[in-house]
Amino acid sequence: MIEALVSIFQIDVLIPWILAMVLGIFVGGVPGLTATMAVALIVPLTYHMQPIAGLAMIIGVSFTSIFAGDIPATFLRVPGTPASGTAVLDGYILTHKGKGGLAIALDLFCSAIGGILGILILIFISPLLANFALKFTHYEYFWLGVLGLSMSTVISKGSNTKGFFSMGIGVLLSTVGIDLVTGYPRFTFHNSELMGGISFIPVMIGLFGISEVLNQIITTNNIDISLKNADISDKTKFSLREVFKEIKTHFLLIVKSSVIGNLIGALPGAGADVAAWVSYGAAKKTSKHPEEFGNGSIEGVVAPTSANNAAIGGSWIPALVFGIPGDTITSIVLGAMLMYGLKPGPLIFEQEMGLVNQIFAVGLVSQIFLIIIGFAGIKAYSYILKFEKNIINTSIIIFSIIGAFALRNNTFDIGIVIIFGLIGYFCEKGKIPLAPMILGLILGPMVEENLRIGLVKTEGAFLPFLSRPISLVLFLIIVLMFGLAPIKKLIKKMFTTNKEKK
Amino acid sequence: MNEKKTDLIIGIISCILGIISYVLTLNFPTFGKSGVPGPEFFPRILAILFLIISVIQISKSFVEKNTKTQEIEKVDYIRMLILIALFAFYILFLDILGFFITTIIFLMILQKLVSVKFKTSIFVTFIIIMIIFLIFDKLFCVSLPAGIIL
Repeated sequence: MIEALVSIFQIDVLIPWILAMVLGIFVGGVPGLTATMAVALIVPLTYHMQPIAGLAMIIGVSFTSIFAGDIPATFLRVPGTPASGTAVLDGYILTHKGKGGLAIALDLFCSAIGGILGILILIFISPLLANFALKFTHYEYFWLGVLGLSMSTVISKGSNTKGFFSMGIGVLLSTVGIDLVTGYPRFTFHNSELMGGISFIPVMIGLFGISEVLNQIITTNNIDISLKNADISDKTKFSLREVFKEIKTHFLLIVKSSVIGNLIGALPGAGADVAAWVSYGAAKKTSKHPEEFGNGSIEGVVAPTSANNAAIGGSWIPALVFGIPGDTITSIVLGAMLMYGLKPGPLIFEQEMGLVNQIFAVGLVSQIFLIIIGFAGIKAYSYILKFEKNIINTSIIIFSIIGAFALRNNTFDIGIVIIFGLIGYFCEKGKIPLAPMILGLILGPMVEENLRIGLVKTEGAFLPFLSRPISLVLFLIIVLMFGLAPIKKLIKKMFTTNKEKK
Repeated sequence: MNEKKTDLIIGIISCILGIISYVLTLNFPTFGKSGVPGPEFFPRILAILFLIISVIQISKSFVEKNTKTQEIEKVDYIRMLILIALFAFYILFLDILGFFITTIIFLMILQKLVSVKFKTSIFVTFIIIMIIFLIFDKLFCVSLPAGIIL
């Protein structure tokens, strides 16, 4: 571990890492730009670096952007990222009461504490799980993939059928190209570019980078104008002593929310935004003063912000151990890791232990950087709002295009970016969740290959898929998730009612 | 767009996707022994999934009441078409005109479209092109397309 700590303090890791964290403040702070978008734009750059530098950029940007989303939420009542939707409730009221500085400083420290706890859980749980996962064969991986896909459709916002539709498109896209079992080209229409399959990173850049920008350019609304002249510099004052006193009083709540956030992050398809809402709801239910929630409750600030940063660590657990993404960001991470030539899964803990330790170390050190860069970000926030939105959008479009091109020096990939930008835009309009599509694209090959190789081994019999203890348990979980309507409703209720109350 | 209409559109798209992908799998050759699935097996499951989704969505759209939702956002279709044309231009001409000329034209028209002031847009174009050139061409040695003319 100490070796890993030393190795991440090289110049060629440190500089991109810190730059990415600064970028995260900007991305999180400007409403409409999200962490996922930032990660999608960063990945093409990381292709030319060593893997840990690239992963440090991705980890760094996810932590700072999720925190920075709370800055406009707290001061201006506009969430900067989806994960900061809860911060508009109590944080903004606290600003009105003249305690905005306290709220945002607490927010920052709790983000860092949540981040540390999330990473610690990742460090302790994932090697144990990986050890367990070594027992898995094709049968278990098949069910695990199916579980990931079904979970993403059940948890995602909107109707389940739309989730299935989105997932189906993702899986269907993953079948394009040469069939890995028999070598037969599927859905390629004699196009040599499609032989290798639809490359994953351009799809990501399109869905998460271009589509939101398209939305902003094509549809007109006037939030930006009122934000442009906002000045928050006089509201950010606070005393450190008061902050630490609040942290001490609410420490148990911070730990509890971090654990909840971490668990939700680990579920495939649910990320920081869901974690924030669920932990807010949980904090409200168990609070001694539930009536204060929504009226400037400190607990209402502390709980979601610890949870959404702890969710990041959680989302890495299934990603590293099973190769199943915990949220959209780790989906991109998995795509990037395959690009670097790394194969996530239990074996990574044996073969690439050095890299895994470096990832853990980056996660922990990022929290210290988060506090420093976060404070600078709060101070500089009024300037961030002065950037003209149209220029930002223009830059994102051209960087998406060039980023996709640079991966393989290929104009075909630019086409993919634009097509998926449009698909992403129309999906947003039709309220079709994008997370299942991405999980489908990543998990499709895993489900198909394991199913078919398993069936070859059993000579076509399906029964062995159910007769092993672990695979049977996984199968039963899936059945429970869909078969029992009450449980399904409960899950739905847990994850959506809070949102609708907004 | 209201819920009813979206559900119907998704149902129709899903139906088309299901039929097309099923028909395409009919041409796939079968490999090996019977009972062991070949390359057509998995896409067919997906095709059936799409058909099921389409039935659910279309029937849903008939059951739902026609609620009128207020449209807050206005979609500028002309802008959208210009934008798509601009993207097409970029893909088609990148290899012919080269990175610099194509990108300058693309960025200037794009900024005109989103009404950035002319002087600002020249400045922004210059900065963006310099950043891309320095990062990709100089730092990462990705050769940006040079084009036939330059």
